[in-house]
Amino acid sequence: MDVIEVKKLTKKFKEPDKTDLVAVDAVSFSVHRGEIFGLLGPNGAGKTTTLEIIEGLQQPTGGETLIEGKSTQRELNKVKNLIGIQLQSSAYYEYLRLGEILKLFGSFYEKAVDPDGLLEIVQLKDKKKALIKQLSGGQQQRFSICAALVNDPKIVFLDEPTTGLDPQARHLMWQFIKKINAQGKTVILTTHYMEEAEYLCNRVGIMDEGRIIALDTPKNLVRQLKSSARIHFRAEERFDLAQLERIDGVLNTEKNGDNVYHLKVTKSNEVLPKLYQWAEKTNVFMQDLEVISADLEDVFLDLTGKKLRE
Amino acid sequence: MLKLFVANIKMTFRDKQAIFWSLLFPLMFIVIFGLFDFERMGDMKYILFDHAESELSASFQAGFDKLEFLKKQDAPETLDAAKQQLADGDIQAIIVVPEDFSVPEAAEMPEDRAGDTAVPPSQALPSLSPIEVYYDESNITTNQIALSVVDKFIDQMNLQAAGAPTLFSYTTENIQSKNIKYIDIIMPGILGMAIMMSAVIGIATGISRYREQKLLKRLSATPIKIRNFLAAEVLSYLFVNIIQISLIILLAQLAFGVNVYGNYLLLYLICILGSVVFLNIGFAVAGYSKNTKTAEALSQVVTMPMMFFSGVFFPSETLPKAIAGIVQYLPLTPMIEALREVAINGGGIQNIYTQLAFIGGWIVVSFALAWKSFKFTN
Repeated sequence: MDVIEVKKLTKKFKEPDKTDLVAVDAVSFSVHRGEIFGLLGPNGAGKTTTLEIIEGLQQPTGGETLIEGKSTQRELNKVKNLIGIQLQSSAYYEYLRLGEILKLFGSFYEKAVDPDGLLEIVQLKDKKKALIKQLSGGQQQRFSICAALVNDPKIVFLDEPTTGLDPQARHLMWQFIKKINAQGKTVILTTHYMEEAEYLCNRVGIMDEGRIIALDTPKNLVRQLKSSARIHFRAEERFDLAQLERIDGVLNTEKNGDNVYHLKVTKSNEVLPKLYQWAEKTNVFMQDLEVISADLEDVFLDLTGKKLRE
Repeated sequence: MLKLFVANIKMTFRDKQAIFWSLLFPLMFIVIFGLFDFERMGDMKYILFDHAESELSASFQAGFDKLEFLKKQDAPETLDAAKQQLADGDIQAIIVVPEDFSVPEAAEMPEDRAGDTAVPPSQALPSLSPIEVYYDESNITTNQIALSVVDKFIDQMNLQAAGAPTLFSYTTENIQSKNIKYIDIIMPGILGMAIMMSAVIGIATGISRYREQKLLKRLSATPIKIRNFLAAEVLSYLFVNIIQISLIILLAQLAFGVNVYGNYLLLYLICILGSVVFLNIGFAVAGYSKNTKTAEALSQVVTMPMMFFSGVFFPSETLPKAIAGIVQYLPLTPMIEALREVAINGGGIQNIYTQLAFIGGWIVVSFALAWKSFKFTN
């Protein structure tokens, strides 16, 4: 069953020169109960705007969003009690201790859960009496996630939960998000890290310029690509690039200055034996051979002609 | 909402900056003005050499003794030693009464010589040596007073000696029966200033910081109603204001013996009403400022002129007419006037209704300003 339904959502902003900037352009999708759903895209793709309209923090120019069948636009207060929100770069009270902040925020909702349990989830229980400013950046981010859980929400919104974290802190955060999801909470998050979407998300919607340009499981998205892998190798021998392209399954070849060859191939398991045959026949000794499976980055590149992080 | 109210108060007391502006800053003023003894400042120390030691010179001296601000010092051996003290600034004046300063025999003569009009009585009088007064020119006001005392005394003596009847006379009576000290006048001013500073600066910077840190946005993601959030803010500020007022009055009374002649409840009421005005102004400033820095600057711009012109430290009547005309309409002015009326003159609500009406007007105006400019999120 779908817990979130987004129907033809549009958001336009007035630019200073009075032209319309379409931040979200007729976006429709739905989120299934119990999954981790990711909106993946570069900065400015419209991910945060989409999320904030679903949360009720922004008004859409057109379209509608439903949470558990309730319209965010018409029944905001009911919706607010169902969801938990973590905002991008939002601070909490400077002079309250973590436990006090959680208690206070809990008091705003119809039901609230015990702060200790929440701090336990993100391993901050020993910081219960600390102030926000006494936490590291990663701990602050973890706290903002546990603050999203004060009302025991069914659906948790996380806006770029790992942006600005070092790799170690990011991996820790991924564990917490998995843990929250394992408690039966539906998670919808935005990210511009494709590894994050690949690792965490059951399904990913790829956004670019206000539109969802693809939506599926990370595996299926990659599988749809013509090229599922890249093969790199170095070779000192001289040969004609055209010979490589004639191999069945090789889609594209490139050579750079250091005698390194890059091949885009349909399926590496089919192409590799043929590549070895060719190498033996032509007496080419392939060094540093690497096979790299395609990922969401390639999907994005394939769909938009751009790199995800530019 | 109650939880938010309690949390707000907790935060205020943990925020050292807020505590400084709302509590320590006004208390510092009380201490400074309390320690600053303005009555003693006006004292004039003088030395009197009485070479005559007559009945007349004694009554002359008594005239000086009556004036509290003139403090007689023990005379040194010689006049030169006294002059040295004057030059050093240890004393402000020397008065030398000449040896022949006594009621002349001639004073009784007019009656005896009633028939003899050939000689006018004054000419018949012996001329006496003058009283010499040495003084330090830099101390103008006290000199003026001391000299006028000498002057008046001499005039009186001359008239008596000349036998002229006293036609004009006056009696004085001190209507201000209470002993009002400068700190008594300052304390209500400090109350007003403290309320203004903590409300305007506190709300303006506090709210715009909340907005800058996206805390307001985070709050709007929860089911809490905006009006409850605002009510908790206002109520917690009013609560802190009450503590502020109590501490200021308490310190002023315990440490410096400040007298409050009027009703305390009325004082609190005026402060709370004033506080509502300044809280509204704080919200308006937060609304007009894009970030915390501008909010800080803008709240200084709003409060500083009022702090100096609205009569915190000196009555606004002493300002040039044009400025005083504007100043009387500023919100702090009627608040301080009302506080003074109650604290010093023991005025009741009937004595301050114009001021209360002004404050009421300001509540309406400032609320409109706040309503127009303040947005919960940007």
